[in-house]
Amino acid sequence: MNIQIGVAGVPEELELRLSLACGLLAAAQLQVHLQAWKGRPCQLLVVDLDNGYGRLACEVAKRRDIPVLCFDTNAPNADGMPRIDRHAPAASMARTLQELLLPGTAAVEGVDGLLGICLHEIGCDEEVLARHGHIAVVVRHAAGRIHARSMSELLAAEARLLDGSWLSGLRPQQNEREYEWLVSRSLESFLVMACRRHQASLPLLDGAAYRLRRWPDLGGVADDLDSLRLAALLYRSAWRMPELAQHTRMDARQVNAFLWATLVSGALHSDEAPVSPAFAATAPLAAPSILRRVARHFGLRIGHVDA
Amino acid sequence: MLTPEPDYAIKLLFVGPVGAGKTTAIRAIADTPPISTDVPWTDANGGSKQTTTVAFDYSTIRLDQEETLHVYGLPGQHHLDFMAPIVGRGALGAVLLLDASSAVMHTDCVHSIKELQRSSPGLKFVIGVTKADLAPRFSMQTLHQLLQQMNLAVPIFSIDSRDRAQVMQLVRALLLLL
Ligand SMILES: Nc1nc2c(ncn2[C@@H]2O[C@H](COP(=O)(O)OP(=O)(O)O)[C@@H](O)[C@H]2O)c(=O)[nH]1
Ligand SMILES: [Mg+2]
Repeated sequence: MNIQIGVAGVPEELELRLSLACGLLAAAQLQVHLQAWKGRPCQLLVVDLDNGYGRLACEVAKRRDIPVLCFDTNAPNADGMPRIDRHAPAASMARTLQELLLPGTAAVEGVDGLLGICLHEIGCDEEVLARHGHIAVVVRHAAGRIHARSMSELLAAEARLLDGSWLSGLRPQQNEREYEWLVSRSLESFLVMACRRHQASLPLLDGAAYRLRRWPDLGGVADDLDSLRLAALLYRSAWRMPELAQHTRMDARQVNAFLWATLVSGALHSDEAPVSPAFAATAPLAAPSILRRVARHFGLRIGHVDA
Repeated sequence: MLTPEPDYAIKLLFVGPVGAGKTTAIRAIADTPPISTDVPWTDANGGSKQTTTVAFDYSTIRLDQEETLHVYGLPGQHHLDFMAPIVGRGALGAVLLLDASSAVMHTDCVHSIKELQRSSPGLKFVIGVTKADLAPRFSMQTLHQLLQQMNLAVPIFSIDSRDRAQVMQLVRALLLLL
């Protein structure tokens, strides 16, 4: 199902989380497109009533019978309107949107365990302690790091990524020095490897087109050329999962796993589909021969450089 | 020893502050251990000219029968100015290394990028943050914000420059930008 959501007067940081939420809705087969509202018809308008343009857009939308969702506010004209907590993580924003757009459908989340916990942390600055039996990891989502007492503990966490029995809570403010006893690695590298390992169990994100807002930290997945290639493509333009798999000749499940990892890390967002899906797949530019030789030395097929 | 390279020689630069892991990274990926060369450097700033020496690294990677990639490690910030005319021509791109355990990582980052942009405008680069293992409170977010403020979108990887595979991965990211 294809849905247009307009946004008006919403601060950038909130819009970012909204767009993450829309990305998650793809797991419920909802293709949601977020657009700055310019008065065109849409299924839902999200406004911030603390903003002048937001208030104006809200009035116009009401006159046109467009449903409005507003961020928490004390504004007097917000009576009776559905609201959304401006501090809500992307995952719960997704749930609110889903309830409004498709009331009564199953919860969107679709992922459990440590991955689900990380998903909730998108856009949050807090440090979360996640436990599973004897395994304990600290997720600093905003910092892009995951900590544990040992590398083998991180591997054990990876193996249980989707287990339902993970528990989590805010990590109490503790002695700074305590971190010196922990090992750490890039959260993105952790997620990329873990999602790849569990690729068969991840819901398919085949509803929407996605794009990377920034390069994920892939230094820690040193032998993984496929992820590097996917990152380069998704950074350049928006892709739908099936087309990306076809273009790269990778397994759709593998591409899907990379989308999940970067979605949960906060680097990936749903985006308008490319004008023509074939546009990025057109004939690669001829790389200078010297670049081809350098690329070959570093294990990149020339097609990858052009990809 | 360092031989003057013809202009078309293809070069890969490692730049960044002292201790960021440039020599280590070059050692990890080059064919031979890097040679550190002291170059006399005249600081023309201010009235009295001061002559010091600047150490920089040089090594090679043999690509095939005919072609060799020349790898340079350029220290500090201002030294780039001096080195750029020599090694900057024909440079494929640069790897900027930053030390996560350094209290001045962010200033180093801004300065290094500004120098890079000034001495080699348009040169593509990637950022590798080393020693995150020694900096438990390291955060990627602050670096991302810094680059966003500078209107730059370059890959930033946290790597251990002692690990060949991780350095290779960073160079691959650079190649994918070209
Ligand atoms: N623990 C740790 N040490 C590193 C890392 N990268 C480099 N080093 C060490 O940092 C020191 C300085 O590196 P060096 O290559 O000489 O830095 P340069 O001044 O930029 O050439 C060396 O002892 C390296 O072994 C890293 O990621 N972690
Ligand atoms: Mg050195």
